[in-house]
Amino acid sequence: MVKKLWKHELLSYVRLLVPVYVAVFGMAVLARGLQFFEAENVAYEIAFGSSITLSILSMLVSVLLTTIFVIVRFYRNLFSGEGYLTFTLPATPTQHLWVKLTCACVCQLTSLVVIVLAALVLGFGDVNTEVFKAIGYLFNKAYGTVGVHMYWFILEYVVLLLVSLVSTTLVYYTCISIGQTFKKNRVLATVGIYFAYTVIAQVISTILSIAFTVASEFLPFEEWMKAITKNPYPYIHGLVAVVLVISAVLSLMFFLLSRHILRNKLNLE
Amino acid sequence: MKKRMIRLMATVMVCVLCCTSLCGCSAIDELRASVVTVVDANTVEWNGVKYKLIDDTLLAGVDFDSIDFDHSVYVNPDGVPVLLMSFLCASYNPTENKVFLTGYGAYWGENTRFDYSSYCREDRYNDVVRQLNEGLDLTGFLYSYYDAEDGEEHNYRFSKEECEAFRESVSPMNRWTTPVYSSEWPTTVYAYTEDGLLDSSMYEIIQDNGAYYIVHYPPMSDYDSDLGFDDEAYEDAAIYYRVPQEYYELFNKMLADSLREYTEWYSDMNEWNTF
Repeated sequence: MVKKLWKHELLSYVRLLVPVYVAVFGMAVLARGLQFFEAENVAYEIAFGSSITLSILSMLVSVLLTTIFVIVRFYRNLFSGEGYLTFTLPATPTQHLWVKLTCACVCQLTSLVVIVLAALVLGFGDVNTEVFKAIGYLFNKAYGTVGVHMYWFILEYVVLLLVSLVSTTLVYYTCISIGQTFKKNRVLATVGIYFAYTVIAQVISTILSIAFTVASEFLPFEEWMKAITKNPYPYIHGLVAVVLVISAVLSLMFFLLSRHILRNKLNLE
Repeated sequence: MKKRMIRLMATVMVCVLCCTSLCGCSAIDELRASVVTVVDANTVEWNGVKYKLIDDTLLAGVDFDSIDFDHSVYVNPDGVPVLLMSFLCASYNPTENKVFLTGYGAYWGENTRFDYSSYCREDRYNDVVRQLNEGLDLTGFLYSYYDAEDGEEHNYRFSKEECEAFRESVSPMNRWTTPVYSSEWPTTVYAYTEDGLLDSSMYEIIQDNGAYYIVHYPPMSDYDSDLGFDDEAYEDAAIYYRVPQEYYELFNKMLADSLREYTEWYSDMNEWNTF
């Protein structure tokens, strides 16, 4: 059943997102195609500048639309009238949540890939050659300085990107799940809960940074800094690992909370 | 029908994309043309022309007619990709006639170092060194101005007649003993050589109550010491000349570009203040 859920979920995303992606590619091809008519006159400069601006805007809008689609699909499928039909399917709430989460992440990653491809279209030819040369040069320079740690950094940041993607999506899902427990103004409640979450997260991080500053007065901070400056890479790996673990734990908490609400506090329209 | 449309659209997009690989990018072409390669410790090559390093001590107090800071060239001994040259390489500014590459940045490469050095085209090198040792062969006068229409700096070189009028104006018989202070826009004028070197002393043309005056300042380097720049002594050393009335019309024409720049700047300032 999970396979079928995945298939239909992805198909519905494809129906929504393919026109957006076509528009993004279309704008990039148009902007690149305009360079055929390159000339030193105001008309060309305006046309080219506008096409580049529109192309970049379309890329940003595609990311925004993907996020909106992810949020709207989750709410509509599970908590609106469609929810009655969804929960008659032979799948557990955990399976529903899992399918929604994985498909949402796949779509958001696809949007990122589409943006990168559109950027490649924009610079098709000479620009891409030079961009790749510059990236290669900077990578070699960084590798010369950091050494084999470079590969670990890349791996860590890719994993961090994936975990952050999951964590962010689960924050949306949890807020929607809590918001649907309200009897009236469920969407407004969801937005309110999201803002409350953001404020609380900010307050906690501020308290932690203040606590850290105060604690550094009593701790051998300078000696630590000396040790870190001497060989910083293990500490950076450690820091990334801590951030990864925190994100993963938060994601698990959000997943469990959403699952609990789906199982026990479902309040369909 | 729907599938056919999608296929058609995809084919058009791929065709356009393939065609675009045939057209270049002028910005990249410009950057590629701005690469200066290193031949040896004292020689670089730009656009197939060799340039030789000029001894720094010879250049004390001498300036170049470099105005085009938007079109820098970059000494790139270590194969830095062209997109990173402006961040990682030393920039050089070609003079208007491309006889000199004047350095205004420092670069420490893997094996080489460039530090505010200047290069001269190989075929002009010996003559330029001779001039720097014995005195510049000054051929005329110029001033720089910003043209709002094309957004670039330009040099206005005086015509033969204008040079004559200018030289005549700064003759001892036109000397003016009282310093003139004017709120009008001064035009800074330099004497130049054919190669693009500027004399170390400069002139300022100022207007006061409808009359033109020329102020001749000595070389700044004479008043610069370890203690700092002596403003007062420099100002005191300036010599004032009053331009004969018969040249006013010629000066009006000659300074039109400078006056236009001032008028545009003044109206911009007014707009800004009003805003």
